[in-house]
Amino acid sequence: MTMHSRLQNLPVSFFSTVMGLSGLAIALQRADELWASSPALGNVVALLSLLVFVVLLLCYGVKVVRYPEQVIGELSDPVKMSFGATITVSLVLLSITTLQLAPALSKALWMTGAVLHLVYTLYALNTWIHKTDFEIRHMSPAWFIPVVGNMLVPVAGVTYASPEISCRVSCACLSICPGGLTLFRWRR
Amino acid sequence: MTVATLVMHDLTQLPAYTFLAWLFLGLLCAIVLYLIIRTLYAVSRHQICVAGH
Repeated sequence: MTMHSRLQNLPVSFFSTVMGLSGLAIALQRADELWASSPALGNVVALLSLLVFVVLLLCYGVKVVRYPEQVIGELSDPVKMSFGATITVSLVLLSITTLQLAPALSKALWMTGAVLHLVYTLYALNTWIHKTDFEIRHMSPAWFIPVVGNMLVPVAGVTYASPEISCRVSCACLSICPGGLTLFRWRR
Repeated sequence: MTVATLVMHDLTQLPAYTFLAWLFLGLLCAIVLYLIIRTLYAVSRHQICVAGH
């Protein structure tokens, strides 16, 4: 298999690896603060997740330029579409891992991630509600990614923006889940 | 859940939360390590980035 066809088939869900590594980094950083038992281990994992994100972003950027039809197909697929939010959730998670390490970078990551994630959540909601070819069998736990990602925005958000914004984002997330899913089931 | 348990351990200093915090942190490390190994194994066998995935 050639490098071109591999790039063509690079799934957007690969960004979930950054989510996993960032989550581990946050837990290790917290444990380090409490016990001083894993000195710098959390920061090492945080830097590793940042590196993985940059590499994946470059690869996916090339895919966007070279194979835009593949990307459009992926982001409009009923099941794969939810994984598009793994990019923006990764940005928000990375802003949490770099909160102490590099505050300026963390703020830039948070602002970019929070805005893009809001846009993607609205896109996902709009697609779920208005697209007619979605069926009940397309529902999967992955559908929670765009919605629940909003719960992560306030973690660094209380440092960089007013608490009211964080509160509203959390409330929006909590209200989308039951409301959106009920509406979707009713329309089918 | 791990971070929440760590926060509860910090707030209460109860031994139960200390135990749970270590347990969840250990589990989390083990799961992520397992997934890294599985991913690298799949990459080495050219099972990733193939059509239909």
